[in-house]
Amino acid sequence: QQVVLKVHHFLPGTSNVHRNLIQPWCDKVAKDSGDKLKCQIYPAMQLGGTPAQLFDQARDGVADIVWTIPTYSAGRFLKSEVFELPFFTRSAKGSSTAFWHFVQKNALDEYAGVKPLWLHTNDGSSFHLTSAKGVRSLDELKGLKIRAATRLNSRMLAALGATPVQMPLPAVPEAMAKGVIDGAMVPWEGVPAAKLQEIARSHVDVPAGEPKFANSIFAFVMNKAKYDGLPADLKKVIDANSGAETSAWAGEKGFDSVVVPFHKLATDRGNQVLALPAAELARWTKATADIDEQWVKEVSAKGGNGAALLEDARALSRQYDK
Amino acid sequence: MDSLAVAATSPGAAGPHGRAPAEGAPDAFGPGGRVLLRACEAAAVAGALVFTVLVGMSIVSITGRKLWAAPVPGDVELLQMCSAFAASSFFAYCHLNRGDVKVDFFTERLPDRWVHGLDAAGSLLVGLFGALIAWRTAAGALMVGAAGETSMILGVPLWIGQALMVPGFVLLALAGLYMAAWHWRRARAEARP
Amino acid sequence: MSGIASGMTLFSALMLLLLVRVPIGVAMFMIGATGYVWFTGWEWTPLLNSLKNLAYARLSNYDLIVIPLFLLMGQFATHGGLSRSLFRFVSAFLGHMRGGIAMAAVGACAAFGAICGSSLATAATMGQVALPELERAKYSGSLATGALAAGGTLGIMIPPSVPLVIYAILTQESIGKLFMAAVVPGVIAMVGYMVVIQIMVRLNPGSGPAGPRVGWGERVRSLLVVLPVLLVFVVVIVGIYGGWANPTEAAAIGAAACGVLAVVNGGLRWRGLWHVGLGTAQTTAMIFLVLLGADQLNTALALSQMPTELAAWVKDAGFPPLLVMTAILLVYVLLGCVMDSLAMILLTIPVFYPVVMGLDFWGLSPTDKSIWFGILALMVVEIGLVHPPVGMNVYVINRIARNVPLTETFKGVVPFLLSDFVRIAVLLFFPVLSLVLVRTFQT
Ligand code: NA
Ligand code: NA
Repeated sequence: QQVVLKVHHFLPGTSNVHRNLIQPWCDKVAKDSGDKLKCQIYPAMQLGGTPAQLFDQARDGVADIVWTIPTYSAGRFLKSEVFELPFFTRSAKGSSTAFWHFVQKNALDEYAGVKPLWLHTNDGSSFHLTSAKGVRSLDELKGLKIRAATRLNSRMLAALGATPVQMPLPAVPEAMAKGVIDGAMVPWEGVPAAKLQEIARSHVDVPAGEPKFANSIFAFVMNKAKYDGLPADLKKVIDANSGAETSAWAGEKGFDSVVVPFHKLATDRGNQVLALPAAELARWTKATADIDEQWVKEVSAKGGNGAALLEDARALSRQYDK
Repeated sequence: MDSLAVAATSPGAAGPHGRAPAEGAPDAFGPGGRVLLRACEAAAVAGALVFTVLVGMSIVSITGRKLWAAPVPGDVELLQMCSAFAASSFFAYCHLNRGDVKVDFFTERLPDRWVHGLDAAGSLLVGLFGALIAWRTAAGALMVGAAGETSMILGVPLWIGQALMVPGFVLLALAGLYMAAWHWRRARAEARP
Repeated sequence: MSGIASGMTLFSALMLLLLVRVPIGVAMFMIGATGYVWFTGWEWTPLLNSLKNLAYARLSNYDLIVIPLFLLMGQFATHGGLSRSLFRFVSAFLGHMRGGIAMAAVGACAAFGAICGSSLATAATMGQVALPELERAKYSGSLATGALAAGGTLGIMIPPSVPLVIYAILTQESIGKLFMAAVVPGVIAMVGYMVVIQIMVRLNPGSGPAGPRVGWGERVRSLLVVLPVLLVFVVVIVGIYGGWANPTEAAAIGAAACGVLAVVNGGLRWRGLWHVGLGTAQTTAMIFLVLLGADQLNTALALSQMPTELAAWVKDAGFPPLLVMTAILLVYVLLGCVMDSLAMILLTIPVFYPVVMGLDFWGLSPTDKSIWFGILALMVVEIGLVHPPVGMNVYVINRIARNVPLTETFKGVVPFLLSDFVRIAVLLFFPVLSLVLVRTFQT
């Protein structure tokens, strides 16, 4: 008896995540189960709804599995959101592992009704700017209009003195090309999809080895009842293809491994790829320190121990994300 | 598109169906229907007013962004929430005004009572649709509210945006049921010699 | 059952509902919902859960907001008397030629189309302004009404254009790029209609007599009156193409500018504003109801796997791409006999788009191909507004011209229809016409 899993996500079928994470995962599960588990992947929100509604679609059984950015639902994944704090992650592989363990230990209540299969982060947001000279200091960032991806991202930009601008991601390339915004914060993984290497003239990263400006969390989750209803042998296949190691695989395969080739796309077009001077980094970190505090307060207001959670997330990062 | 756009866009040139019939005309609404029509008109104009306000906000935001790098904070999410509400308040008026897009090619030569009979069934489906969507949207608002979701920048609870759409769809359900009864009465009246 | 077979079952059921006058949006929704339940193994819960999202997901869509805003702008333009000044202006320059007043009406339709997203509104409002003048100048009924019915389609072919917005949303294409791509084909359409008028008056000089020549003083005065309208147009176009606003914002600017013009120049007052509100509500609801229904139907279609299977089948069958495209365009012409353009786009694009994207046309890149197909689809669905038996524009214009029989109007439309077919063939074989502006303005 074959079980068909409806997998729903918001990216196009040609995207890196679809081709290099979701499809290979599905192939692996099909192979391990002797074709008893089969995915039917619906890219680009083909089953309806908005990206922010994906999580509930998995919870309600509208889809069996979704890949989503939980924090598109602002205020709902407060604890998981800790990995989106400024200067928190180093590599996608490491921070994805840390993120998985953090959720297992502290935040499973945020995933009620679904079974997280793998959780991951990206390779860290960089600044992609239309100016050729880029940004080397806090003063140069002041007043620039930058597209913000998430709630914390927007707070961070404001704290750094930039003007966060809200717009749907597909509108970013055009808005940048026409000077509506001066740049966007996007991980390198997202650069070719938005053709940012063609529109941006400079790209600003943190100095090598330092924590990245910002990040986003991602979740590949399955409807709980659907999982519980699987025969034992198929459950085993799912279990073998989920967890900390699969999360690390997603971070590395989907994100870390594309950074170098995507850098090359930019440098081949004569764009500058800059690293912020180390002295500046300290100023930036200091300017955004309040955001951590604010997060602690918000979590505590909802009955969590914000300070302890932050410390635990940091400890896990130190352990897995060196 | 726009089978009835014309009736709406230029009251001078009557469209294919024309505006709601005048009092005393053979196909006039009864007192209940008139009250419903007034309510739907009020909702429609209120929705249009919301769009007008959003137009103003957008202009302030664009100007602010262009001149002082200071757009209205959360302009996009405000636009999204408010226009969902405004659009939902349009449906009932459109249906009462018989503005739906229909294929009338195949039924052109049917006697009027047949057409009214078919339209009664169509309106009943519209009413069912309105009721179903009102119910499910309310359920969605409750779910989003329970999860504590907020908008990205301003932190406005998202359930508000969804809940505001419910009255519009309730009104659509009423409009559908009313028009079903209305068409049915017309069909019966035409059937009498 | 295969995906194609189950998809076809849904389409047949939908046709049945449409046949018996069920409003298109609700018919699509009912079939979509039933299909959804069917494809989820006759379970109701997934459907009920997915419906929690449907209305808010669609109605809060940022790109979709341009539609009510452009409709509001068109309402202000219509109620504020902008059509009259546009016609006077073009007429002052062309009216003295043989067939000139009809050409002026077409030109004014094009100009009005640049601030209005709807074809019927353009036909109706320009018809009221231009038909009395054409009658006074002793134009033949068929030429006068034919030119206006055809000219009305410029309301949608010249951007902004509601069907293009829908196409953009369905295909995740850029609204700005599609608008830009429509400019040259729209202008070609306008020129084509003017050429048709010239040919008609050469063949039959009595059908379109020349009007009096207008002096330069009068011309300048007419220009001054129309200047604010041109300004609105420039602001919107420059806003979108030139850089400082996205389409939603540009629509907001356009609506505000037209509103101010309508109140200040057009004498629009409370009663008129009330009608502006109702008109916007009416047309927006009409469009959005179809959108909601199409959303549900498209979800069911995706579940049936029909679009993917069909695209794969067409690709593997190895039909010549041009043959496939011609077949698609013919389907549109046929559907146009019974259905309106918005419903056609919503119904067919999810099925045809993957097919087109899977084929090679002139070596076009995927983005170019998707823009080019959008323009072709727009042009061909608009024909449905003027060809029998439905041809809404023809009815609208004919109702205004009370002493012209309907057959005359349909006869008058034929030469314009021929120019439509010629233009579509040209656009089919020369994609560059649609793509030139997009490429020029791309960075
Ligand atoms: Na237009
Ligand atoms: Na007539």
